[in-house]
Amino acid sequence: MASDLPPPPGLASFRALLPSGPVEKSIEYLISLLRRRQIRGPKECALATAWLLRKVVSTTRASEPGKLITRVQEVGKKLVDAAPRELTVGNIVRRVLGAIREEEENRDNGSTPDTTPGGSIPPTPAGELPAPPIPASAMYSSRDASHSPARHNTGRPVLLSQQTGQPPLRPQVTSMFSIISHPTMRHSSGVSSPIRSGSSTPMATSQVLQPTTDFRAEILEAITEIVDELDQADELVAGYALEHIAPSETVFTYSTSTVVQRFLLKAASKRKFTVIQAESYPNSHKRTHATTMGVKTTDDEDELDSDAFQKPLIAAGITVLLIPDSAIFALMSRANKVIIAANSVLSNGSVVAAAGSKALVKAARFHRVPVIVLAETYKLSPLYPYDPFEYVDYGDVQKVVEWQDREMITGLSAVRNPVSELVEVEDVDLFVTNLGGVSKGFMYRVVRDQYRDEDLEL
Amino acid sequence: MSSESAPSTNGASSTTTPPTTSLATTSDAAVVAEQTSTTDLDALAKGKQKDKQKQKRPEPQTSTTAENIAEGGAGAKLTGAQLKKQKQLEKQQRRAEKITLKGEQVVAEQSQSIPQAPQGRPDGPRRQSQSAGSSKQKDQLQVQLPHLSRKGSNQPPEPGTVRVPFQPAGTTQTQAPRGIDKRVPFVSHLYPPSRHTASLSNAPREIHPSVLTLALHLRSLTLCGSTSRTLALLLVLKRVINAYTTPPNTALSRHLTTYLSHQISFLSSARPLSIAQGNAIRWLKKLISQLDPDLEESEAKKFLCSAIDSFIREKVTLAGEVISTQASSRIEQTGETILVYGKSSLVERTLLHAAKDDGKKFRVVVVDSRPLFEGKNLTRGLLRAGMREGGELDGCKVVYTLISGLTEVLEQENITKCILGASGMLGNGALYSRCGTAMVAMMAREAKVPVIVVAETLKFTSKMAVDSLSLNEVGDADALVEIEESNVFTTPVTVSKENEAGKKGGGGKKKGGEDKDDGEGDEQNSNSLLKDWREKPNLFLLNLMYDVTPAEYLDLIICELGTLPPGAVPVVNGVHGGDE
Repeated sequence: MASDLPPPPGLASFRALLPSGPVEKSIEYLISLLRRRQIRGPKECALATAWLLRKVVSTTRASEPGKLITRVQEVGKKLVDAAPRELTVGNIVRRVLGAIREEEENRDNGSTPDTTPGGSIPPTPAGELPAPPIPASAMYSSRDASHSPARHNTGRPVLLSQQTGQPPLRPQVTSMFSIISHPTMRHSSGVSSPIRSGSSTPMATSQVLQPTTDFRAEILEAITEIVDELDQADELVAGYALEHIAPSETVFTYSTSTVVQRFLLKAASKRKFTVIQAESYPNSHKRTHATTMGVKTTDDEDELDSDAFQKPLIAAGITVLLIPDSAIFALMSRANKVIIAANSVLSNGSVVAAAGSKALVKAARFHRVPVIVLAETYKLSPLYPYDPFEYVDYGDVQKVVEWQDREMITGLSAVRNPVSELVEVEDVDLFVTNLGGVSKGFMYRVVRDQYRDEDLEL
Repeated sequence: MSSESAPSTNGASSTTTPPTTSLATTSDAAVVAEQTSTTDLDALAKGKQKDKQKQKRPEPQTSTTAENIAEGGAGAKLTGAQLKKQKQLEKQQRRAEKITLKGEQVVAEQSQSIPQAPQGRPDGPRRQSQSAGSSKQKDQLQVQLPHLSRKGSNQPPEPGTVRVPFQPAGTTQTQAPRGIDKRVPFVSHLYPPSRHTASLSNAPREIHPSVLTLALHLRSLTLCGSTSRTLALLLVLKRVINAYTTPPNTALSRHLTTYLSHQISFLSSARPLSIAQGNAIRWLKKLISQLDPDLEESEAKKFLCSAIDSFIREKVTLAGEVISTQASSRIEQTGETILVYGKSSLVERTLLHAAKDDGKKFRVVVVDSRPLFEGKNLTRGLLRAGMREGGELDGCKVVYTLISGLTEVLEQENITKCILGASGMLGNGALYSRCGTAMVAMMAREAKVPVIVVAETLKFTSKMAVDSLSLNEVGDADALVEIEESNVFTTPVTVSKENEAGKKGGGGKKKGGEDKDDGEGDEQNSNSLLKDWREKPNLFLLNLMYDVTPAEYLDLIICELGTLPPGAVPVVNGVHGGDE
């Protein structure tokens, strides 16, 4: 109807502006959008960041990846400063940096093919990639593993891998450690690559074959993959729903999010169960109500969620019991599982989630109800919660006490409306990411695997 | 004495009751209780509006239930004389001649009490209308009731109409198709046996008008809170006893108990009796049954009334005094931050005692929750008592948050103590209190904050519960539906709408302008998000009134007998007789 009017500031307007405007303008625009919280939510911020960085990469005149890295770091820092509590911004910046670094390595490798033996990426037939420029981190690394003792003679005993029943695809596999780097394992587990682990599509091996071609094209492709991953991640997480929800269970959930909604819907396609939905007043109760009823609100930031919200759980034959937040403790005794979505997962596995989640999780703990946290890999952040309240975000006070209520507004010394809070990893029983279930004790590792050590500090 | 107890029904009331005779005091106190409770309703339903405005509001305005009631009363009064006549006729026909006598007595008593009401609030006419026309004028009232209920149902944005107390019981069902059973299966035992709860139209004949009034107040939650409910019940029962005449050939000690049982079962159909109410009734019945059968009727009534008075004084007024003193002594002189949840009259008294009488300086963090928002009431009470900048008790500060902010305030506000009110102390040491208390106690314990419960022994019971679903009460699920109250105000909303429109962000998609309109429309009818939940299959809304806090989360229980650990609750029951 009024299509000539520009869309209101937000993800859509940013997307509309992105192809046309100069890159500096786009950067400034996104920074202001993030500052004003006109783009918020983990997925929205991640998408906006990825789009912007794609543009930054494609427009930067850089002859070598090193310059590109500096440029991306510089833009990334600005973005992170603009929205310090939207951790996905930093995550995406790190992912992009990782992609560039990998490209840099490939490039270095291409120019100097005879520096070091040992392939960091096993699918490379040449197996001639250089050793990583930094000492391998404490975590297991496929690069280290394939520096097999047979080649280096570092004194590690040679395991009789030929007799271990390995498929004879790759006779070079010589130790248990290198099993992980075996192409077949690699493909299915997908955790070993520091860069592309979260992506649904494995990196085409052909990219690595011509390392000296235009590196920017490769990076842009990598960023496109990140964007694709952002779009598909919740669907992938939902793919594990049937593993976790049994028929006639009662699932307790809090607030609302696309990923939980998809997860439950997926389970609902095969199974009948009951959902107890706490509404998370005052910050997302409207969305919760809308999701429950299958109505669309304008509170939904953009088109991202619309498809998931079109179909309510009740239409899928699921019994939904909507309760106020105060009744969480009372009704927890009826629940078999708690399923909540994370806003982000920090490096020790602690979860940043909607305010009130911690009380919910503690109530679940009291009733011995297992807690499952759904977290797409782009929400995994390498930051560490030294101060748990560094990650608490605050919302509009008016949602708690209206400005019109003069007596309360003037009389009260403070009105508090936190939007998010930190749930310690101890209280979580299981994470489900788009890579599958991850136990809480292993989460730190999955988080670290997402990023390269150089990029932990932006 | 009764005037002493009147403020304790509701901390917000500072109305001074003139000293009157015993009979008049009763009605006075009841009137005060009702008035304050009406204010409570207003505050409850229209959290946003200032009370002053409300009090000045012209009577004909139909936005609140009180006014609706008043109107109804006025309508009934038009034919007052005629009605009375008719009523008396009916009485003579259908009941024994002595009942008529009683009825007149009641009417006389009430018309006497009205001029003594401290303020000329619309309670007067309402009460009269009820006493005059309550159950006897069914046809007339039925003419009025649809009119009242129509008002209620046609104005969804009006917060006052969230619960229209005088709505006939059937109205909610007529709005929504009754095809789908909206009772949550696993708490189906907690729902009232039939949806036909106490209302004007189904009140049996023998129900005393003041009982009817109380029932409607209880049902609409205008009278809420364990202590005030018990107090109101006792005052009403006192009046009932005063109006009672023993039928010939029966003993008062035998007949009065059954007579009271009828009244009480009507009350409990309005809202299940609270633990304290149950205890009080049990005490009263026992007292009646132990009366000397040879006692003169008037003597017996006088004895019972004075017994009720002293019960109120001992168990409520003085107990509250002792407990608030005790509890306040547990607050340090300075530097404390106290976490409270919802509203409890005892907690409010404790805080005010500590601030006013003991001159302590502390912060109060009020945690509140939907749908009752009782914490707002408490907050207002504290602010009005001067706990604000420039107020009398300037040293004390009040912070307000909702239950979702609980974790955050516990860590960020350096809470040093958590004081909770009770609806009941269960025999296993668990606390039965407003829904949400368990979470607050749990998180307080999690943060190593001591949890103190203040409760009169009247609230102690030998009932036990290990989870919150065996013993509970289900509130009106529709109370969860209407949450958007800001739309009452026209001017400020336009401002906020503009803000909202700005904030709406990417909501625009490709249809920018349209979306903006949508946004505003949505702002206005966003309260109807859950409106037709009853029509949706598979969807249930549950509004539990209470929950059970496990004893392990409680550190201390302060009652008028002293300070106990939760495990010692049965001891109090034993010492005190408890409830057999």
